[in-house]
Amino acid sequence: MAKVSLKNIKKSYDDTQILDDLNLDIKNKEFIVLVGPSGCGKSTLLRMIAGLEDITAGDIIIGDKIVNHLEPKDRNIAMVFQNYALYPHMSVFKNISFGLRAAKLAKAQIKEKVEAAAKILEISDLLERKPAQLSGGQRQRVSIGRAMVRNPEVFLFDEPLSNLDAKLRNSMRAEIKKLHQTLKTTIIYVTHDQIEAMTLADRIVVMKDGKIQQVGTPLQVYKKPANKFVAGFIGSPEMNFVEYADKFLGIRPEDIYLKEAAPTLKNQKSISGKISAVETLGPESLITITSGNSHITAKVPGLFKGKIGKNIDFVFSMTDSHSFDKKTEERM
Amino acid sequence: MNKSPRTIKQKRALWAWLFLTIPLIYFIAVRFYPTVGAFSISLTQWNIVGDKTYIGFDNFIALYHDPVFWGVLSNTFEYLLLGVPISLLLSFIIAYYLDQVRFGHGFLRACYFIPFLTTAVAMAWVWRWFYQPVSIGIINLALGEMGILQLDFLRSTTQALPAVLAPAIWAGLGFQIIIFMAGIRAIPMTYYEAAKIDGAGSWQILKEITMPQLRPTITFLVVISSIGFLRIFDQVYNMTQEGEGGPLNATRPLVLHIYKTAFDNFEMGMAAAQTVVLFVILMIITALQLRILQK
Amino acid sequence: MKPIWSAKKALIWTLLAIGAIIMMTPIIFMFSASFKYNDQLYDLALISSEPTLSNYVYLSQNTQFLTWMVNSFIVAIIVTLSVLFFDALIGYTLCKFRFKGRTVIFVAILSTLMIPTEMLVIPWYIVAKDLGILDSYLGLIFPGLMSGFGVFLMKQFFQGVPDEYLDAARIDGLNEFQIFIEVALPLVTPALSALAIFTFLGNWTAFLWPLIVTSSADLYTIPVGLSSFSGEFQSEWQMIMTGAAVASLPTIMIFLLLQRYIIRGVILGGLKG
Ligand SMILES: Nc1ncnc2c1ncn2[C@@H]1O[C@H](COP(=O)(O)OP(=O)(O)OP(=O)(O)O)[C@@H](O)[C@H]1O
Ligand SMILES: [Mg+2]
Repeated sequence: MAKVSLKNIKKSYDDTQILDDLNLDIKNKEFIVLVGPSGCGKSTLLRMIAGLEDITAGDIIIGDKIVNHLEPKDRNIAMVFQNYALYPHMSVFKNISFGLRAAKLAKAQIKEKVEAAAKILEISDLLERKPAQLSGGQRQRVSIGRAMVRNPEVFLFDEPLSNLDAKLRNSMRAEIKKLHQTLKTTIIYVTHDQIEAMTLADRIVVMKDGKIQQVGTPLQVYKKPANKFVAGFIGSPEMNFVEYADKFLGIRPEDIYLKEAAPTLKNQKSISGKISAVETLGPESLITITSGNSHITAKVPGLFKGKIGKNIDFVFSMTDSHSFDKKTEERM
Repeated sequence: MNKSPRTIKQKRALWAWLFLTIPLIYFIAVRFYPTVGAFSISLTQWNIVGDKTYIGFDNFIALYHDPVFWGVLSNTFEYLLLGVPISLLLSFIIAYYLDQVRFGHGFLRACYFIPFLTTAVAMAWVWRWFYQPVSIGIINLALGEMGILQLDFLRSTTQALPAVLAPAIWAGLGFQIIIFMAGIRAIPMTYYEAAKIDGAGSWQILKEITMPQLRPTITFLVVISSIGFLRIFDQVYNMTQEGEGGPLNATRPLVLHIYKTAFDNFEMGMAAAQTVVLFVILMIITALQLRILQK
Repeated sequence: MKPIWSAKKALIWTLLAIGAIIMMTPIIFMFSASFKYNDQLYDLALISSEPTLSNYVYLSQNTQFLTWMVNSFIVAIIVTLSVLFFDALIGYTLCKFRFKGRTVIFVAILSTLMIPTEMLVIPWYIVAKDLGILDSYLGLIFPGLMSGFGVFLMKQFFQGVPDEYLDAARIDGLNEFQIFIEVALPLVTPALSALAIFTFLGNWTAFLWPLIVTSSADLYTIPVGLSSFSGEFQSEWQMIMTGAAVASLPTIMIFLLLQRYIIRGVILGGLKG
């Protein structure tokens, strides 16, 4: 029921323009992830959708209503914050039911809703605790619960997992994915962790300096980055770029092979250089070579035993490479 | 015409002004207007019932030529110049050692702190009793039993001022000790550990680590306690005969003088001029201290 | 090495304990004298051979100490509640709202801290006289209803409250006043208690303004009442000490009950203020 459309959205604070003519159509029940470097305007956009910031120009449509001037509570949205925003003086139950109590719902109804949400989130045993007595992951569940009981049509998440350690982040990520499938609502999710973006999103929106660089499925964004920025931003370790005639040639580290271990490649090219760094990640290794004045990193399986300073040969397929215009940096 | 609805920013600003309306009225009516009033009354001659006569700076000129007023100012500075160093030195020494004590720490701290919570008026009378001549006053009683000569205290023009100052220092000590201890506690342990590894003695640590680190605390306490001693009133009013600040004005500070001028003699203009002098003194002293101590 | 150290520590401890006794002496003697008859006063024994409550009985039956006590409580409590509410509201608004004039208002309120009360009492007195509120509760309380110190303190503390807390409540549909009361205030209770301690103590012990503004004994606060009573009862020191004890007892009792909070509050208020 709730698609979200952003039409020619602009945002500026005094003279500084933060968002510049943004257009985006989000389908009903879609999981959209906004990624981009710090300060590019992700939170600002999310807060505008929530009704916490003014829209300088343009329209925001939720469902089929223009919500530009609606109060947050009338927009059918709920928001989950990075620092959870749980009130330390209230129990988990009180925190989750805060909005319902503000809306003056009947006690029994509140109880029912809170318990239902708690069950889905597996925090039924924690309802009487105070936030200080919870772990980070539990706190984030509570704040999701707080958003859930509002029965919103759109969930807004602003970096909900970035205060968690790596392991918890992985498991919470899976749970958010599951939650999306259970609740069947539209989700707009801000992160600057690209693994989160790749695994959670139906479509990823890559932003930079208040502009959308590319919208697409994780695979599209990864396989066919629209420009050099997206190419460099998505994927880890970062894509290698080499200046080559009137273009940048980009090749992902995972598409580069050691010559002796390479499969048969179409359109094979080779590079050779001195090993300047080796990082061992366990199942694979990162090898950086210096060739001329460019550095190229390859991701190879297994433990790599070569010495730094030794010469080595890499190969890759031109079919896997990406070319970007040298001036516009657009994909060619 | 379709009026565009208010933006979030405008709504917030409206709320802000709504919240601030009563406070602004209050601050204007009860702080700013009276401040201006004090300055303007200081330029008049006025006995509160009759008319105000504008006399320019005559009040200030009269004060300049008034030996009693100079005496009062010198008393006021005597309170300041005795009170601040004595109370800070005492409270620092006590705080420094109390901080190292574990056994009975809470109890000792409470003993030092409780006087801060007492009513100055009540304690002034207790001390006044202590200072009475033998057969009534505890101190002279004790001195007598030890066979030492008696002291006149509040009856002497030289001893009265320190005698009045003592309960003021005594009552403020607890606050200063607590603040000093908090300041000492806030110094990172690693500084001390590093100094110990370098082989510094405890005197050197005190001089080169503790004291410099305590500079903001010391500045704060110097400024606050100076303001306190410059405004001393309750003790003097309650410890001297008829609240006159005697004997022979020997203990009368500026605030008591203002009180007498305004509410015994009803010379409102003159009293206001005296408050302006107090204001200027407070400003200058505070500014000087901040400049010197914050360098 | 070791024995020297413990000897030094013992010496320090003993000196500190002596100091503590000296600090408590006036208070102890005050209470001790309040249980004595006049003719036992010169006896240095702390507990007299025949302790008596007669001074307390006399004070409660023949003087207005009880009234003064009640007056002091009323004044101190009203002023404290008002300061807590308004200073928190002002500090919150100046910290969490962006609007034109914000800095000017903050600086203006802060500048009132530099104006000594003594400078204001004369204009206050004149205004109170013109309004006919000399010698009334209103006259006693109006100068203290808001304080620049509290505004500054509260603003400092609200700086530590993340905006997300407020945004979350906005999404839940609370209005800005509800957010202040239900969300913001509970997040700064340490600051509120610090401010409450300072304000209550300051008003309980306040002398100059109540002395000026009241003229009938019915409206005296306890310091003014005690001062006038003691002036009349010169030489009846056991009575004066009883009055002083009555005046001091509430704050000392509160301290003994809430020692931990009070010390923390004084540190907070002292360091941030
Ligand atoms: N109230 C404000 N006034 C002025 N500029 C602001 C304000 N809020 C945000 N900005 C600016 O807007 C830009 C976008 O901020 P935003 O918080 O949306 O970035 P973000 O993409 O969420 O970054 P991050 O990943 O660090 O959270 C930043 O340059 C920021 O400095
Ligand atoms: Mg952000």
